[in-house]
Amino acid sequence: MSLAELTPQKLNSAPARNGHAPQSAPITAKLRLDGITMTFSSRQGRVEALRDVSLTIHPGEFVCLVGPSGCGKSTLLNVLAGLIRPDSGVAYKDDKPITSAGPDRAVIFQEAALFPWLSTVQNVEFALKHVRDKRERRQRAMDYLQMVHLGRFAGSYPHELSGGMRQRVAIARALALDPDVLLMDEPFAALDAQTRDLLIDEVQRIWLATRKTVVFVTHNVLEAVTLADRVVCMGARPGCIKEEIPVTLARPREVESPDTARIARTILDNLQDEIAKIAQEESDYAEADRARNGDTHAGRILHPTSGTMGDGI
Amino acid sequence: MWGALVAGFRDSSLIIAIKVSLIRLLIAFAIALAAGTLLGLLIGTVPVARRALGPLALGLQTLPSICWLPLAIIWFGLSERAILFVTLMGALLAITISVSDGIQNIPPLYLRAGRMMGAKGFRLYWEVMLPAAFPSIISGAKQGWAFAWRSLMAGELLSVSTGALGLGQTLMRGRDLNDMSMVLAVMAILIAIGVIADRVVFDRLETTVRRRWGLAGA
Repeated sequence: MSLAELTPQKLNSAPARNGHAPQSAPITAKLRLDGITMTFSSRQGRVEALRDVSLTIHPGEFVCLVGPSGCGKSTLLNVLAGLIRPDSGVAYKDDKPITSAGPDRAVIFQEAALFPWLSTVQNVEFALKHVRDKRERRQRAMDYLQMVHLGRFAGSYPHELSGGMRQRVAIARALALDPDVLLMDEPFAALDAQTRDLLIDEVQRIWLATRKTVVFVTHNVLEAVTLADRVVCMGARPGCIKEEIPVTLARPREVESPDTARIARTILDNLQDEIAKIAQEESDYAEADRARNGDTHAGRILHPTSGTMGDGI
Repeated sequence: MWGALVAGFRDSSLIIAIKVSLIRLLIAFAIALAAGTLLGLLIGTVPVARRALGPLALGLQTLPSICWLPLAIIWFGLSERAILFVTLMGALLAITISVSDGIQNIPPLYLRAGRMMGAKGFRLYWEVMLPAAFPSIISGAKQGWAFAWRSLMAGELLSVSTGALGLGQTLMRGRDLNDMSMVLAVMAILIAIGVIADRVVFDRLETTVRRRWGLAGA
């Protein structure tokens, strides 16, 4: 299916409801985080996952959250999804507080989270339960499957699909909810590089056609720059927002273009301090651990350069 | 023994006995499966029910089901229903425990996905939790079937005079008549039915479900 075929009608004319690109619509917040603080208890003591994080996301905007592992970016997304409640602070959607999960905020998880007992098309139909007529429901589910080029696999079960295909079904299922907001939690982290690039193209194409508000969490800066209107860089211990970088490159963008690489480089340089900080902390911890155990095994030293941020660059 | 088998099948006394026992088994098993699944769901999802009924279910599970017979006879008299009750109790707790374990071991991701798509209340139970726990329900049913079968035989052996003659009663009558070949014939049938149910029905079902649910190697 080409981009031209992906008409708004096929997508239940969601764009009309969501307004146009953020520039032309009156700027109001689609999502708003206000002073979110979140602390987890672990065996190593209390970890402050998020400290006083505030962020505004406009209608139709594509925002990527990047940061080293442990910076609370996934936690932030789960707060927006209503799957977890912050210790303090409030998350709003359309100026209404988010209190529970709901189909207006579709989540795409790192693992596709398809139901293994349902076939591909039945999984998509799960999101279409409000459609009473069975034949129409099947037809709409098939439309969404075709949108991610999986019409041929409608009758297959999740365990028969590859990781990339499963993630595409998850995207189709999320779109079938016709949500106001798409929340994507490192959706491509478990995929190989080629599949990931393909899916980045696919997400970009779908977003250009639907202009949904998207919050996309990733540790891959290049992925973020390719997709986002705005890249929000987070730091860890405690999780907080370090910097917001608008990306104004023309779309559709190529994953491997010099422009995206250049911007990604800048962001990475900015994040280097954060990565170094975490690596230092981890090697300190390993050091202490070794001292405690009287163990001088070299393999336990954590290398400061092996942070997850370098992935894909 | 072969003679007794052939004769039993020819005058259809064994066929009737098999039918009588299997019908009792199916009735009791069906009730146990429905009730056990409901109880398991309750224990698996409602914390209060888990604390109250969980240890009780585990405790009662250790009780050999034939111990229900005196109670059943007091309640129902020496009747068909007493045998059914013993059979039911034999299967019920095994199924309950399997289902509640299955519910508690559902990957949280499925529940989050379900809630994210707006499934809650009855729909979350019926369309997410129950199917997600289905492999455990099958295992529970398999166990429950074996327990029910044993309980039924015990019940039939100990209430010979009750109602229609099932396999257990036929076995006991063989003993009374000192008819060794009849006893052996019935035992052979019991083993055959047990093996067929286990290998043919439950193992296949279990394999299919586990493969579909992505729990077995591709």
